[in-house]
Formats: sequence, C-alpha cells, structure tokens
Amino acid sequence: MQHYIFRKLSYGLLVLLMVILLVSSIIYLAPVDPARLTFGQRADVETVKAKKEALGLDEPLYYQLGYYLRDISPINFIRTNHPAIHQYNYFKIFSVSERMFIMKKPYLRDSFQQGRPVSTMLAEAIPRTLILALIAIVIALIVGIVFGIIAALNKDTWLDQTIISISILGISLPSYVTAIIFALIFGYWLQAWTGLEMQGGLVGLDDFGDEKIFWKNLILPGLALGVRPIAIITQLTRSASLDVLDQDYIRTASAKGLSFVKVIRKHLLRNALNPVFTAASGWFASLLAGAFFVENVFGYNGLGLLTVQALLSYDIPVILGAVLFTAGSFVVLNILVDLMYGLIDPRIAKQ
Amino acid sequence: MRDFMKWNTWMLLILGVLGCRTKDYQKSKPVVFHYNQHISINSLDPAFAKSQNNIWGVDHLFNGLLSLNKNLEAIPALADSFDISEDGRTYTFFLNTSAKFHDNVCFPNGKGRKVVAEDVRYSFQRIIDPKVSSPGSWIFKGKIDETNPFVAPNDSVFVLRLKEAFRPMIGIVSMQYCSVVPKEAIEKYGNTFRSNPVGTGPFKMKRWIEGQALFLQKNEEYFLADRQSNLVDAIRVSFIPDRKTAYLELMKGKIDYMSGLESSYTNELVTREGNLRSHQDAQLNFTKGPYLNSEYLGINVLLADSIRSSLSNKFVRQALNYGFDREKMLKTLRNGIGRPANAGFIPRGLPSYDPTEVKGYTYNPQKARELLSQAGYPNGKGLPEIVLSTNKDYLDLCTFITRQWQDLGINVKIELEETAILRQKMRKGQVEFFRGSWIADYPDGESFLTVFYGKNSAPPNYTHFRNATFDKLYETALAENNNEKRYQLYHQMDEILIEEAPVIFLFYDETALFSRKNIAGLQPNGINLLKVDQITKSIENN
Repeated sequence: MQHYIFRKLSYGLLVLLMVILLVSSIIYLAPVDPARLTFGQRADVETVKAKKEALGLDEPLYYQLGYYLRDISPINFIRTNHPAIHQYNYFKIFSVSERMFIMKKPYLRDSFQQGRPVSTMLAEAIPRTLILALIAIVIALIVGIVFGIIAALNKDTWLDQTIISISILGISLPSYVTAIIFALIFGYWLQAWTGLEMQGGLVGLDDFGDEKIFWKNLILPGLALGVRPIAIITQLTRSASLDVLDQDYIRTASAKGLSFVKVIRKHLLRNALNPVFTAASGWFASLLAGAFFVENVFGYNGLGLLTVQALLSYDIPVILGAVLFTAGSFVVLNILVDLMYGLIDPRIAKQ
Repeated sequence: MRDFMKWNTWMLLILGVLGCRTKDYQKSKPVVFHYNQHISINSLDPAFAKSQNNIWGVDHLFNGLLSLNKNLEAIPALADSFDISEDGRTYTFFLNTSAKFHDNVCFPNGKGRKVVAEDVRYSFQRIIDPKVSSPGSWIFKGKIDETNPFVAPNDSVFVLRLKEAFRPMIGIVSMQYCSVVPKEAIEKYGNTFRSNPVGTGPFKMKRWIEGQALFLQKNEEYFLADRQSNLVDAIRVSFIPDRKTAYLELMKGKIDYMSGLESSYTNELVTREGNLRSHQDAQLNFTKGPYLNSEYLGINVLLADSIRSSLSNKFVRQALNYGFDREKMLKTLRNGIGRPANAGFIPRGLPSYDPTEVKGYTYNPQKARELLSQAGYPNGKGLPEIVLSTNKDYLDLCTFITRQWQDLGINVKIELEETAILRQKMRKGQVEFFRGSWIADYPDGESFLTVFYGKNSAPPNYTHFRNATFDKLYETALAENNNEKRYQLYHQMDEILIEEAPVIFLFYDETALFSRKNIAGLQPNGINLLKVDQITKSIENN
C-alpha cells in the first residue's frame, strides 16, 4: 500500500513538473514581452529593461524555470546570504557552513500587473470557486435525483419523455452557452420576478460601500455550472431507480401496506443512489474546469476569472500559480479516488 | 395512482422554491453614481495611471497642480497660478494653501494635513525614481534639468526646471501621473498604496474589491468644492468585462453611465447616421464629442525601404490614401461615430486642428489610379501583394478598405494577429504595414507629432519616419511660446506627413457617452476623462 501511494505521488509530482514546463514554454515562446505590458505605450527602453531585469525575464528559459522551481519547492538547500531568501517564509532545519537546509511555504511570487502576492490573490479566489462548485453539485444532486425519480415513476409517459429530452439537451450544451442563456432569461428578461443579477460575485459592495456577501449571486452560476451534472444525475437516477423498482422487495414493501413515500424513501432511494453519489464525487474536479467559463460570463470573481484576466495580460506568475493549483487539485483528487477504490477493492491496489 | 400524482406535484413544488427572492428597502440611501469599466483597475497609485482604466479612478481621488476643463485648457487645481520664465525653462507654481489630504490613519490623529510644496516635489521625484519603476517616467525623461529639476523654496511655491524650453509641459503637468501624494501614506503603505490611496480629490477611498467593484465616498472637505455642483454622495464602479452585458445592465438601470460602442450592441443604440435610436430616447441620454485619438494604418518606411517593397514608393502610399471612401466606411462600420481624417494626423478637438489650413486626403479613385501609373503600376499591374496586419477588433474596417483598394487593382492581404503580439512586432519593427491608433497623452498637437519625430524610436515612432525638415520644425515648435506661431509650425509638419504619407489616415475618433435619463451634467471631453463634478442624479420614475 505504501509503495502504491508513493508511486501515485511521484506520478503526481511528475505531472505538475510537466505542467509547469509546458505552460512556461508556451508563454516564453509567445512573441510578447510581459514586462512591456506593465507599462503604457510610451515607456522608454531603459525603464522596460530595468523592469525586465527585476523580474528575471532577461534570462534564458531554463534559468527562469530553475528559479521558479526553487521558489515553489517546499524544501531548499540554499546559501544563507542568497538574495531570494527575503521573499521566503521559511523554517531553518540545519545549516552546513555557508548553506542551510530550509522548509518553506511555496513562494508564488508577485503579480506583474497588480504587484500583489499571487498567494494572496489565489487565497481570495479559490474559496469562492470551491463554494460555486459545491453549490453546483448540490443543486445538481437535488434537481437530478428529483427529476430522475419522477421520470422513473412515470416511465414511458410524456413526463418521462420530456425529462429525458431536456436532460439530453443539458448534456449536449457546453456550460458557457447555458450560462449566457440563463443570464439572459433569469437575470434580464425575468429579472423583475427573480431578483437575480446577470453579473456579480459572492462578495460585493452594497449601496453604502460596505462589503457584503451576496448569496443570491451563487444561484445562476451554480445552476449554469450544474446543468451538465443535473442531466447526467437524472439519467443515472432514472436507470438505477428502474432497476430497483423491478426488485421483489419493493413489491413486498408496497404489498405489506407501507405508504408510497416510505417506499420511496426507505427502499428505493437507499438502493438507487449509491452509483449516483459515486459519480457525483468524480464530477467535482471537472466542475472546477467548467467554472472557468461560467465565472467569466457572470463576472463571478473566482479562480476562473482571475486566470483568464491574467492570461489576457500575460501575467506569468498568476497564470502559473492558477494552473499549478488546478493541476494540483486534479492530481490530489485522482489519488484520493484511486485510494478509495483501492480500499473498496484490494485487487486494484495490488496490480 | 392518485398517490403518484400527489408525489409528483410535491416534488415539482420543491423545485419551484429554488427561485425565491428577498428584497430589502432602506431609508435615506445615498445618491450613488454607478458606472462600468470593462477593464479592471490594477492600481490607484497615480504613478501607475498609465491607461484609461486606472486614470479615471485616480482622477476622482487625486489632484495635480493643474487640471483640464472641457475645452482642454489648463485650469488651476492645487496650483492657483503659474509663471513661465522668459526662456521657457523655469515654471513656477503658486499653490492653493487651503488644499488638504483626505483623513487617513497615516497622519497624526488620522486627520489629513495641508498640502505643501514639498509634497509636489516628493510626488514628482517619485515618478522618475527607478525604484518605483513608474510607467510614467517618460514624461520627464530628457526634458527636465539634470541636477535639480524640482525645487520647493517654501511651503506654497514649487519650481519646475527644464533642460530646454518645452512648451507642452503644461499639458504634462495636468496628467494624472503628476497627482500629488503624501509621503506619510507611501511610507506607511509601501507596495499597498495602490489599494490605499490618499489624495486631495473630490472623492476618497471607501472600499475596493479587486476585479469586482470600487466604492468612493464624497470628500466633504474638498478644497475646490465651490467649483463643483455635484449632488452625488458616492461613486461606485463595477468591472463587468463583457461590454454587451454592461449594455444590458445600463438598459435595466443598474448602471448609470457607459462609454464606448461595441459591435454587439451598436445597432440597438445608434442609427447609421450616428444618432440615438428613437425608442431609447425615453431612457437614455447620448452625447458624442471629439476624442483625441487618431486612427491610422502605419507603414514602417524603414523596413519597406530595406526590403525594397512597393510601399517604399511614395506614390503608392498616396494612392492608398486616395483609394477608399472614409465617409462610407464610418457610416457602415462605425455608425457615424468618428470623422474622416482629411486634415492630417492632429485630430479634431485640438486647437491646432485646422481643416481649412491643412488639406488631407479625400476619396478620389481617379487620382489614385493616376498615382499608381506614376509609380509604374498602371491599374495595379505588376504590383506585388501587400500584407496588412491587424487585430480582430479592426478586421471589419480593414476588410472594407482592402475591398475598395482591390477595385483599383491593389491586392492587400489581411493578416490577423493577437493585440499584444502585434504591438510587440510593431515595436520591434517586424511588420511593414499595420493598424494603429494614437491617443493624446496630453492635449497638445505635439503629443501626435512626436509619433513621427526622427529621433524617437518605436514607440512612439512605429513608422520609423525620418525627415530632416520635419525634425527641424518639431524642435523649433517646442520652444515657441506663441500659440498661433506654434500651430503654424504644426500645420507645416502635418503637411509634410500628408505629402510623404507614412500612414494611411483613417479617422478622428469620437467619444460616445450613454447615460440614464436621470443623470445630468455629463460633459464629453477630448481626452475622455470622466468628470463627475457637475453630475446630478435624480430619482428615476418608472
């Protein structure tokens, strides 16, 4: 088992390394000067050159990569008087003559455009995206299960057909299209009735300029992000329920006089929902990816919006930080899922 | 079966609850002027006020020595008056002694103190400090006295010393870069001064959620309060990146003001003739005015010469200028926003713009054909294909122009580039023929003519234009104190540009401002500054 975890972790690290390598090479090869972009059109050559040196952008790619890896690595063996050391938030383990061995928080550098530490920017944005993804999955579960059961109970009627058709439509629509449609229908045409906005993040400012949490701004992005999972969960619930409804114990339960609600709750749901929850946990990671589009449509200030804005201005530290986080969470979730399967079915771990 | 139906309806009811809402009403809401900026602010530090997204915010919070009125004339701000010495090298500013910084914890007892000349010196020094690496350092570069450019002899007098006479300096001093900041705040906040701005302006900082919203509160102790008649208690800025969405928010009345047009909603707002559509009349005000932005297609003459392309031939460049209909282009593609650029590079809206004096290009296919023959390509015969690089925002415009050129027998292929990449290529001189625009940094014709000054590299001189007569005139004009005489020189320079045609003159841009009917007092100005000091907002009745 330990061997298995170790192997998975090293794969994960390798993936992250490749991600950094790939992303930095793409940015490096793009014929754009990020230092230039922090100035207007009029900046003179010397100022830009000084900025470039300060940001380390005048070095060849492999140096830049090396420095970045040194900055994000949690352990370092470094000279005690190294200039980069002031940036680190470190803990010394031992020192050998001029060098020391330190443990530190990964240093993600400062944004080129805003001059703020990338770690702060990520720390602000990530919880908002996680809440959004969580809401989406909760909405998807509630709506999907309800729809699925309605469809199963009314098998082959018009209701069943309608729900199935809608869910097929839901699977086929990309989330940014659904997002735009929802924003237009519920945030614009029906705005007077729903009270929902087309735009807005979780944290906003009220009419007095005070910070306020706008929970209602989660509804439309959550729905838009949840549409695909809703559709899939509906179908899963429907087919699982149909299987269960055919079982003898359901007939027995109805025969012995249990109320309809009780049959559904105690016998049908319990048995039908296992595969649904397993599927939903797997969906969580891909919701993070979908959030990139949905956040941009609704102007929801999470990780997706941050990343896209950074991409447009070639803000390298922010791009790398955000990509690293996203890739990292995929790696960690995959390892967790693998481990879970391993626990459930020991044969997998042995392979 | 009845049970089944009940169960179904009950479940549908749960779903219905998901769409519930609440609304809270509060008494005595402050009057908030709400507008959208589609590009987020990335710093409120005046030293980083490099583009319009940052400039508007800085302008609400800070003051410089001088500011500009709607006719783009310098008017007093922190300086009551100023003197320019006989030789044009010493500018003496006499400060308004009633100006105070906003209350802030960086001051003793949290009370804002009076502004003194030392603050001006400190703020100007900060712009040129390499450690700050301000994008505005160019404004003083090579222009100011090398040893002691900024002097504060006493609390109310500030002296600016130049290396040589540079008449447009007044325009530069009124730029947002030259806003006055207190040393205490910079020392206290350091790198986070960008989000903790302390100034003297009509509004003070309340709260900023980056990328989301900015809220500014009225400064009750504003020293120029007598000049303003605004009844707005606060400003709220949202940063909706999608302009179509911002337009819909304006239509809903969620935001009060929006500037600029984008193809996704232009036709819903403005007619082909450039007027507000009649069904919007009840809800919106529409104002347009000249915008100091000259749009052009540039030719890198240095590159064209070195590869001996057809564009190195002056007659071909002139033919291109005669060969398309600017009026029609603006009508069909820009809904009449903008004016044909037929009087040189200095755009409409500047005092030195004079269409009676400077005669530029108009649509004249006959003349274009003659010029082509003169260049040795009768009806375009033998003329190799020309490549024009543009970004996607100008693709429609470039397509329109190239179609018309095609009728003359000139084949131009359009190459699409990403904005940042095209900029970089223009800077490095790697593109021969490109789409460009130049916005005034300060309202003086010099800000446009500097684009063609031979001693400038790219930017601003993207065309690598070099002409001894032009350069001589440019240098003479900078030292000329008499406006009339200076404008004469500007006209001569513009005529050289028209004759040599290093650019295809497209159009002079216009600002298009849309506000809700209940907003009054918005005035357009040539540098597209949002001046809030005359704005009133009444309660909307709907």
